[in-house]
Amino acid sequence: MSDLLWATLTIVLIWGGIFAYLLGLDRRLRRLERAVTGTAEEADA
Amino acid sequence: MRDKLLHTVLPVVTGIWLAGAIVAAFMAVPPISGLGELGRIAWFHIPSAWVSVLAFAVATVNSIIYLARRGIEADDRAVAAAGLGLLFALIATISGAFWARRAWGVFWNWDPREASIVILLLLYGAYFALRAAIDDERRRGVLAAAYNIAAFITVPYLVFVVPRVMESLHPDPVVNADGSGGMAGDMMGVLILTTIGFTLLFLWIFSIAVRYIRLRREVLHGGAL
Amino acid sequence: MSNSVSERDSGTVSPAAEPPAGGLAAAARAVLIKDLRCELRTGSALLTIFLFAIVTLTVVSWGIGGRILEPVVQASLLWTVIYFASSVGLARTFVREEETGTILVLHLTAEPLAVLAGKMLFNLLLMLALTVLITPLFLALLSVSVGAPGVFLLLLAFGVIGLAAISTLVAVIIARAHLKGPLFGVLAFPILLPVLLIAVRGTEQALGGAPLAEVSGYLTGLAGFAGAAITVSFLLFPPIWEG
Repeated sequence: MSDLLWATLTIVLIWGGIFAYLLGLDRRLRRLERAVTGTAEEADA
Repeated sequence: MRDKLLHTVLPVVTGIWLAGAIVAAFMAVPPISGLGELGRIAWFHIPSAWVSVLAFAVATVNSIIYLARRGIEADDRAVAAAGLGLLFALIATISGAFWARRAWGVFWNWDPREASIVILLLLYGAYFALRAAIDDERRRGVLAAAYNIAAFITVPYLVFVVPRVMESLHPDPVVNADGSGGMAGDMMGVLILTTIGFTLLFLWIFSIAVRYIRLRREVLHGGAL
Repeated sequence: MSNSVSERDSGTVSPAAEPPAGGLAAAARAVLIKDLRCELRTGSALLTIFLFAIVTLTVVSWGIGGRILEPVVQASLLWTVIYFASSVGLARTFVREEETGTILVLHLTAEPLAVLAGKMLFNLLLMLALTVLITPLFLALLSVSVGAPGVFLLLLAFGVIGLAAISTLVAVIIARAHLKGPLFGVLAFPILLPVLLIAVRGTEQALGGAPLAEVSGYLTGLAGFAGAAITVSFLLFPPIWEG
């Protein structure tokens, strides 16, 4: 495999890592948001 | 519907698009003449600078909205945009320095574009310094919004005037700094790909940042969501 | 402040009532006159920034000795001195009000835009006075030859107007946030950098004797910035002032 291909794969993998991290943030936020809304609804009840 | 768009479509499209853009930047075009492989950083440096200005505009618009309506969500969005703007301005500055090293032999020589990005960095820094110094939420929102709007006056000057004013001293005009002096149609295509990709990335991270700021505010102050 | 009250058309003393159109200019003038009177009595603002400018100029020219510098360096130094002086002296107009507690009086008796107009005019006069005083010294100490005097003066004027306008706006922000001096520079400098860049390049041309036509681009840029700064200041002042 050429050097260029290696470089490309590396950068794509780095991007993959960033992407996964952002996705993780997204999921965690959603869980927290649901938890907070849930608490608010309980308080209203 | 909007939720689905934000949580599924945007991330997926961004992920695939940027992956494709990276591949294109490395494999679909030759390196810019005379700059070697490191010159490819231009395809990521220019979109970073673009996003930092876009973020500034988004922050300013939200600052205007905040001053008009005083809804705290607008302030959240302004802060999120400013934070991202600072991040991308840093990325643009550092990547630009490495590009300059490769192209002109020095990391920094106060080229017009370099001057503009530094001013942008200082503006962002000032914005956050101001916010950090004010405790009262409403006052912080109003004054930060005012500063943001005042600071935006400089943008037309940074984008259009400064490069022309400083050009007279530098032999290399801005055109060469972008590499567009030797930019074939293919390269322009790659640039457009990465620019759109970075814009998508900005929109996605922006939405996450806004939700995070809002959540933090709700939890800390115990308001209703 | 009794001047501003008696100059209002309405017979009763009503705080922050809607004044007739002529009242805004009169109120602004009243604010300006008040500040000018304070200044004339103590002379502290102009004296402070003038001395500061002298110090800066001295430090700069000391190391130069008798050497003649290139126009671009001369222009750069002139605007450095002017900028530093502005960063020291222009925040005071509002900060002093906050400190002495007269800010409440201002709130009650004058319409916001009148306050801004008065303060901005005061800052502008202050900066123009400083420029008039320090420029001849600068020309003499650094042996500067001015190729195109008229153009040189125009550039100075437009640049200083923009400087004063932005500095006034930042001063209000700082004062309303109850913050101190250092943050003024942090906030004002990045916004002023483009002005300084254009002013220095334009002044360099003027020192070299460039005709008006060649420098008109710089003048337009400076005038445009000053106009935008003044306009934005007037739009932003009410929300900042009322907090």
